[in-house]
Amino acid sequence: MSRALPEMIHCLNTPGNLAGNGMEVSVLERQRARMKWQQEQLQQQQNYVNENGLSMFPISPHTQQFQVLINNESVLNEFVNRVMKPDPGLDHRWPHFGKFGGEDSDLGSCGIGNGSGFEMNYAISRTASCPPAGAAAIAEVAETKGRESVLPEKLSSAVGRESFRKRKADKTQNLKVVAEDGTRNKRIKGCAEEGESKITEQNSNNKSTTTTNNNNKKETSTDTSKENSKVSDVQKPDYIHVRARRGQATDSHSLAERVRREKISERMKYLQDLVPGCNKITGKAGMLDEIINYVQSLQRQVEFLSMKLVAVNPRLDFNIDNFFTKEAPACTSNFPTAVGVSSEMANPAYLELNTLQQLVSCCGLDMGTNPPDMAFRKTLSDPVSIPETFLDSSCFNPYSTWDTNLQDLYGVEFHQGRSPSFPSQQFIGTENHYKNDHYKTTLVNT
Amino acid sequence: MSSKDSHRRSQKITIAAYSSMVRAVGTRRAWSRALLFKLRSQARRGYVVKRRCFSVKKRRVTKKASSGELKQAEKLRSLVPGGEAMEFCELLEETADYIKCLATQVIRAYGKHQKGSR
Repeated sequence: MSRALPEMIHCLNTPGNLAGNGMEVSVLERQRARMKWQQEQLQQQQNYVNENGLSMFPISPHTQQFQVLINNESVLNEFVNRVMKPDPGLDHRWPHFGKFGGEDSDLGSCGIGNGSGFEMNYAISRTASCPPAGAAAIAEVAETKGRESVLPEKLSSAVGRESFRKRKADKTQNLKVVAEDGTRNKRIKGCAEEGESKITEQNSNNKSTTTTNNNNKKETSTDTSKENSKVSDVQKPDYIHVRARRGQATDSHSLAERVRREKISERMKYLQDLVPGCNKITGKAGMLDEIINYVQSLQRQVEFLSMKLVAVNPRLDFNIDNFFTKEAPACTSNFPTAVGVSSEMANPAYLELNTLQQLVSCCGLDMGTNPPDMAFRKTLSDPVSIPETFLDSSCFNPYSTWDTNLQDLYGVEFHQGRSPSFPSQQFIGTENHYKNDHYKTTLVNT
Repeated sequence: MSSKDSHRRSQKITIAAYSSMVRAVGTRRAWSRALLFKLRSQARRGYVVKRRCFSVKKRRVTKKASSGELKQAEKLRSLVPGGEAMEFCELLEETADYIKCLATQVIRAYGKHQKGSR
């Protein structure tokens, strides 16, 4: 993959690749790379066709569909006719093209009843199976039909050769499994939405309709996937829609299991970036321990700081229990306006509420508008910087040695800190635990 | 002030802090929904229920029952609000979001403390 590989690697700027483990690319990243690759391939193919007006350009059903998605229906019809006429040998494989050519506007509700038609529908969402299989099929057909001189030149030559080589090396084994969960379809939607900038809108609309249709056909698709994986040994690779990684089972359970494991590992990587000091730890158990400790320390810090805030600010007596009982349905919007209204609002707790609310809403709104997976993926790249910048700029450097010092700190603090006066001697006693001068000066001042 | 009163007071302060945070997040995340539910039910009852799990959905996750990560997962579930009813994968995602919100709250509170004390 001399030329396509750099492109694919370049496409893999996903945040899911946080750990520098370039060896194992997850299914999702492969899929994304393939989508972009596919698009490029199709663009090139279209260019070739438009330039040369090939009489024989046998394209796999998947790439044809993709072309339709890229709203080039006339070209598709052209392909269909041209494929059908000079190549009767291919009829047994693509018998439905006549039907398909007329129904390219609505792929999801395609009236194609036979299995291959359904496979084509299936293949739209399972974009992973398309390009190498398509290129391989093209290469193979060219070889068998003796038109190899035309095709390798017309195709993106590097990719064609590479996929052909790959096919030669291990035909059925070097295929990748695309598991079928609802989450898988969500990912596809996520990918579709991400790639919207690249792919035309019609394409994405068609994709979303096909994915929703495929959601409906989920049960039947599992059967066909098993069938396909069995069939893969017999038929040519262009009909395979579910791929197994080399040396791994093609069972649907293990597919789902693998997808789930990849999701979990992706999230663990994200958490590794969130929690400071976790770069050296490489076990799930160790990571979970660190995460638990970190969450506990954060919660303790929240309590500690909120109590300090309350102590510092003059406070009136208020009833926090009434806070939720009295709340109106549209309470959140009223908060900023209600500051000066009632005496309760002068309470430091409410002051705290306002500031914290404003800040957290600013940070939270970045992620809130996206669908869950998208939010997760988008926030992988951007939002990791938020706590980091805060932590860098703020005075909380104890995180580096937080596991020992903070516990001591909070042990001392909470043991003595129950009284509301917060005598300064306690703080001075604990100031050694903090490395920062800022904090020291404020402690002395209180 | 007696220890009980001070304890009550610190509890109120904690509740105020968490309620501000969860109000900012809204109902976007599962953990914020669970925490909102817990706080509101506390306010309605007028006392803090000393029960372990507050989640509305009580469906137990029994899939990974026999794995070694169970203890940590349980601990994490107890820490993250609403974690009882989540699967492990969802739990990790909610934990990440929870950590982010807690961190921003800590930093903001600290900054405010700094500003207020000058």
